[in-house]
Amino acid sequence: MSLEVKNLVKKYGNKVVVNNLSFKMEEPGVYALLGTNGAGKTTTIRIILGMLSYDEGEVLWDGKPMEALNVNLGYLAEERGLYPKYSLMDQLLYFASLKKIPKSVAKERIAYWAKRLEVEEYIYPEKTAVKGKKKPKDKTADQLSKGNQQKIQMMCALLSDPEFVVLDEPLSGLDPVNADLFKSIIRELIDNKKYVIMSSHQMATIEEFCKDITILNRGNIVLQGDLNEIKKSYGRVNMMIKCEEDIEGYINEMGLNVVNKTPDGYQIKVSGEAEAKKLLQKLVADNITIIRYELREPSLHEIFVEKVGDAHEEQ
Amino acid sequence: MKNSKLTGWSNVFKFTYAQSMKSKASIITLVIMCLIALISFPVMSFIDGAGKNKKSEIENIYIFENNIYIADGVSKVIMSDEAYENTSVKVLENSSKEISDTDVYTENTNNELEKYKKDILGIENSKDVLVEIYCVNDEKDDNYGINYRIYYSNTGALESSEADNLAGFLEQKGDLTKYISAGVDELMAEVLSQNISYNIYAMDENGNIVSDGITGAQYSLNYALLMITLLSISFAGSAVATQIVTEKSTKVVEYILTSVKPMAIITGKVFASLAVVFTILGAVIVSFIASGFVNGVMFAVDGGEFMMPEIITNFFNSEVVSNANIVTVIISVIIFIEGFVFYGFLAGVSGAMVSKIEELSEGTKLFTFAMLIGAYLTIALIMSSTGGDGWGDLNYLVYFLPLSAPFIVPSYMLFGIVTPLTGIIVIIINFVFVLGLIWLVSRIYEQLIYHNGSPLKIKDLFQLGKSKGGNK
Repeated sequence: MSLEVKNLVKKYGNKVVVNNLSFKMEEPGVYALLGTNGAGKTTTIRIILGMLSYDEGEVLWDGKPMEALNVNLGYLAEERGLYPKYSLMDQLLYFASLKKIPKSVAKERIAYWAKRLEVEEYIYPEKTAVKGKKKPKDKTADQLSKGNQQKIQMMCALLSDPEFVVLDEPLSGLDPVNADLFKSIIRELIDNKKYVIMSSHQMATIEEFCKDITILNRGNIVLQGDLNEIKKSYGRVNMMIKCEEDIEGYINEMGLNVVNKTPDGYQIKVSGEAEAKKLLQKLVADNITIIRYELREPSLHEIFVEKVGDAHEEQ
Repeated sequence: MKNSKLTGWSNVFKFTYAQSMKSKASIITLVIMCLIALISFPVMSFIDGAGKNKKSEIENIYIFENNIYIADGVSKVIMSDEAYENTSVKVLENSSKEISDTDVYTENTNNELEKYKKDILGIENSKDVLVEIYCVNDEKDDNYGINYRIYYSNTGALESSEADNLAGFLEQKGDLTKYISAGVDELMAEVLSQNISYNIYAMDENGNIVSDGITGAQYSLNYALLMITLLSISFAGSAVATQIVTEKSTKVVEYILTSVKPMAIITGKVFASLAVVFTILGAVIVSFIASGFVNGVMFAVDGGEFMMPEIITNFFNSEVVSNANIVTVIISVIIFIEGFVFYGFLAGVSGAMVSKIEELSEGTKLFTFAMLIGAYLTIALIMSSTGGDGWGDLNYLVYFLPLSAPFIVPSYMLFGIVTPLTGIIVIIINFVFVLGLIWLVSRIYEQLIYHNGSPLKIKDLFQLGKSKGGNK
């Protein structure tokens, strides 16, 4: 299996919202589609999922033009949606029927995911019935918290046991406990060799799961490739240092760029390891007490801000 | 298996139908309409004269007439009716009776009558009735004409409704009584006492009917069918539009579209709404049938059998829908369904033109406007068709226009005004229009369903239709 997007172009009138986008997923895992708001991520996802038409390019699944309705796919949309007044079980069975899942299989999967996502009490309210009291009514979406609604939607996305999953901002709005629950599910998807496209503004999550990334800005690719390789290409240019004495004089003397000064120390941009070592040697030579020293590659967050910021400046 | 644009519509249909039937609005509508249908026939019969056909509890009817000689006629008419087969009728002696040539009936105290009143009605638990008949010739008098005075005992043995029923019966059989009293044989008297109705036919030089107006009964029935169709289309159209806006505003559509195409969604919803309307109509028809049986139990002479209220049978008879047969009924149903589908898709587009439920009224202007044009054209044609042929050849414009066809052609076909051939042409034309609308919807619906912002205008739809839709 593979997913390939080739030279994709989408226009609304004269406005180009996706411009010559290409990327490829040749093996299972998580691919990150990043970008600022309005960068074209959701439009790209909708095109891949067959919801939107496009003007140029190709979307290939396993080397053939992708017909989304013929691929077993799951989708957790950025803008969450459930029928507010219909019973949760009815909705889940309906979404399963749209995926052509037999009712008995659907019921088994609903039971599995309800337990896994800890929403059994909402899907099966009868289980919470108190003896001698009236059987509780079926729960509807509008009776659930935002986080629980998100869990139900995650269930909808995974009910068909999809081979290809699109998660658009899967962790937004979740508390840390539920965020961990969702992360464990994403890990389960990776373990089960699923193809996952993830879009998120939470860069730490992307770094945790994704090997390859594409950063979009106003429909254009500003950075693309293997995340580790990208980071390596930047080199270890981020230096964190905290000393007992004030070292501002040393930094100024070497003409280094202080990115941030916090009680936790200085965050300094260096040109490479040699420059960092030179500062460190000077401090050691002058008997400065070093509490913390760290030299690392830039984080995805920093790369993103740099790239998208640059692109904004150019435009 | 490859998926088409309509794949999955049946799942949308089943879910939408089930949820619609579960909704409070549908349940309340269903219960109210069935209840109205269930009680309608008994209530009509009650208003028309409760229990007038039931076996009367009156044991004896005594007739005393003053200045007229119709007592024997009255007696015959009463005795010939099933309701009074257990009642005996006697004409009382009035020694002072004579036909008066004066204009005013002088109400002198008649000792004989007063004695009869005491003798007949003074008995404890009397179930007898005394009918006094007199005639007033003065047109200025409030009681001008033949008058019946009905006396009964108020001791409680006989309910006042029995006297009321007898009064209503004598009034209804007034003409029959007169003919029988005049010596006409009973069969001829029955014929002569029927209502007089008329039809007007214009003939061409070959002796063919070229124009045919509608009768009063057809006019009323046409209005009733128009209202039922209008309510059904409006109810279903609103449901389709509301569901589409709800799916848009709650973003459920985002998820659904990964499994089905927009055309499957709108098709499933339109047909589900049609099914909901047919379910409600079916339940209402069953309730009407049950109402007929309830009416029979309550008011029929023998009780138990299905009985329509006289107020309906007197007005609507088989002549009204003289052309109703299996072919015309099927054609009528197809035209109704086509109209329904046409308006359903129009409602779907209307719903998709807005993004929020609170903007729905803004979006459904197109649907409402189209429906009103169709309904008003139909009303105008019905009004101009009483006693004439409406607008001549322009009638066909109303028949063939998809906006008005479902409101008028089914009823006109059952009346025999529209021929089955015309009906088939209407089906073909409507089918082409429905296909055209579906084609337009398929071009613009994708853009509409993702539209988030101010409500679109009708001209925006045409612009979307011109732009290329669904290229790759």
